[in-house]
Amino acid sequence: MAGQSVGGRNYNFKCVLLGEGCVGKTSLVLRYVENKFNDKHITTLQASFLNKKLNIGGKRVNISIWDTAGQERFHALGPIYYRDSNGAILVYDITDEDSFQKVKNWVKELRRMLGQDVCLCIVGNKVDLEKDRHVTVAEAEEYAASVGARHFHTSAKLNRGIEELFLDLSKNMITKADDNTSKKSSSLGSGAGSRRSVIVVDDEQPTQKSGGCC
Amino acid sequence: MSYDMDELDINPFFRALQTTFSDLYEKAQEKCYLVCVPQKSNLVGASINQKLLESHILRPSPYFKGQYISQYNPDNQTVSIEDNGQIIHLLQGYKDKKTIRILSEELAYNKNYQPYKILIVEEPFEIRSTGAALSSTKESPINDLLIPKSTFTESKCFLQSITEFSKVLQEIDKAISDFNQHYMVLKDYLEDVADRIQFIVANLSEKCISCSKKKIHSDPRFKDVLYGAVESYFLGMVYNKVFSAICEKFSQEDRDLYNKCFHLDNITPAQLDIPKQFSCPLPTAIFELSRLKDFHTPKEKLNTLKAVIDSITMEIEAHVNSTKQKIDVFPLTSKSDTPCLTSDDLIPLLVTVIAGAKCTTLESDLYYMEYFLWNSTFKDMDDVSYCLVTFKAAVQYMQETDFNTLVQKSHKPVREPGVSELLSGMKISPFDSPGDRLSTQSSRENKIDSYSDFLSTQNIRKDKKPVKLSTLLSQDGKSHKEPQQQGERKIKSIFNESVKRYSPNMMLENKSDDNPLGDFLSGLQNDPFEQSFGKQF
Repeated sequence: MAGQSVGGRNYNFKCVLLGEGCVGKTSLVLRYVENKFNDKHITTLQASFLNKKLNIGGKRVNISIWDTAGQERFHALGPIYYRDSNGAILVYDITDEDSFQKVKNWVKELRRMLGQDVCLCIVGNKVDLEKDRHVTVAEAEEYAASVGARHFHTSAKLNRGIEELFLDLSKNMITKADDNTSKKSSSLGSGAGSRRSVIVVDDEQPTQKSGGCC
Repeated sequence: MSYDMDELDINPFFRALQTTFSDLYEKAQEKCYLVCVPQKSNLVGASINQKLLESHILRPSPYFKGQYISQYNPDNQTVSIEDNGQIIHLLQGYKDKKTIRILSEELAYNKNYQPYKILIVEEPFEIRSTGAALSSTKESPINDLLIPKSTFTESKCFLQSITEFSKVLQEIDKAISDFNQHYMVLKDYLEDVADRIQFIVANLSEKCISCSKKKIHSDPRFKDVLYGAVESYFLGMVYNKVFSAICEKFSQEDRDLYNKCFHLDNITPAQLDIPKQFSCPLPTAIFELSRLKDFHTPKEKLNTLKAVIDSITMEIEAHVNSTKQKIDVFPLTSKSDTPCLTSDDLIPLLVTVIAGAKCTTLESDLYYMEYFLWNSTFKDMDDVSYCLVTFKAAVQYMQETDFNTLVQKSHKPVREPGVSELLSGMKISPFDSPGDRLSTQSSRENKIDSYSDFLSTQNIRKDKKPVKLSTLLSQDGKSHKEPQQQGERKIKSIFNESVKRYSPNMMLENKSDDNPLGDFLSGLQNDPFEQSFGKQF
């Protein structure tokens, strides 16, 4: 819940998930957020908004993962979802050339809407179907590099490459957020273009050696 | 499980590791040790010192697999973790050889991005809090001050409960009175109105802070709660004036959307490309949405949107489960086969719910929720923001789509009940109508003929004034109602936490005995159109 994030320095990021219907983007993100202690996301069917908390270098990082309407008929609605995103995961199916082309269209749109502030990750899913690959590794990696995106290969089925993907994305989002914060503080008031990407809550409370909660 | 998803954000043990004992934590991270954090509710009264922290930082035993040795060496503390990763056994070096449940596991990486684990455990390994605190599942009263207030009534009670604020509360009421009487709210200057209110709220909140005396009042969380409460209270009290102007500004859009709802009477779920397994009536969601107009603060309205999406998910889940049990039409053999609701599914489902609820001011409501909410740390990022965005997407889709051109599709459609049916307690069967429309003929016959007629039934009434804070303060304090006392029910949330749902009548205090309007006018105030849907349950 908003307002409770106090203690140390914490980051809160919004990350949109894009990909055609059958590329496995839902499975991929469910794999990432599921754990043996809490599988309610799967039992309740809900896969449109998911949260994942992780700790990097002693800092708390909360990633809100927004599934984005990807069907063609909802194309015009995309910007409503992208707004203020810190990261975007664009998923294609390595066995489906069309899904890769679709990713290219989204990259163009995201860059147009959000500029360079958004961290992009292009993800070739279903590497368990390597023998049916229709998008070559070289082509995908070359394209990702050309648009300033990172490229990952994953298999939601085998739970492969997913943690690495999100860790890398988190690192990039933290770097970008820290850059924006330092830019903002060095040129006060000229923060144009840098979205409210991060919540950094400085420790305002006096530190205590002992005592119960609060 | 009572485990709080945000446990580490508020946990004093973890906080001590991040601040006072950061050396210890950095060493643990560097070595990729296992960090066990006792949940906050079982730390009440515990002394959080180096010994306690060290005894919860574990390194793998060099001798036995599955065993760990704590960083507190003198007692040679050793634990083992069950293979399923859910139970810790204290083996030696601790006062009691007991088992402790692991509540959750968090992914963590050190500065070199090497992974290590943080486990949230049910209780401390050695130092336990008092029996009373252990058995208590409720937050202590002091912590209530740190819990964000989500409703108008909660906000008001919160502000009234702090005696130091009494003078500032009078100022707040004066500011509200001045705003209502003298401030010009013009439909083409809504941004200025929002800026003005934001400024007033910030100013009044600062005044509250400046007269705060208790230590807890300096807690940043308390400030957040206070700002939010002042904001909700102020907006609730100026709602009629502000929202009337917003409705004026968006009258065309509201009218268009309302008309679209009737166009959807002739459209089947299949034509909206709602997957067949998700085609079912959504009466609870429609009922929730129909209550939107009864709430007056952006936070309450946003929680209503969340309740709608939660209801959709729960109703569909029930439908999928019942279908699964009946026949092999949708053979679901394992958990991995469970169909998942994505944004592509939610948008058309919301279209059917909006059409069923026949909202008259939804565009205005969405604007109000988006531009008149300032005190939200994670604004635009949290689950409530997602719900708002999904509603905006559904509304935009409705506005831009010509439903007359949709072609009839083959599979048997599902008929969605209208609000009037829901309120009259009419029983709807999923597959009983030959027409199979989203709304029924009878509901169309009974519908209120024009948009303006329908609008007149809304509670945007300037004669309906909430009771001021300072007036209540001058009355007997016993008259304050605790928000939980009446009309509350809970919806299981598909996101992080349960949503408290209140009857709309709780938003405004009951009128005092000395009714200045007289019987006739007060009778009009209580006319049937003002009857909240919540009272039916």
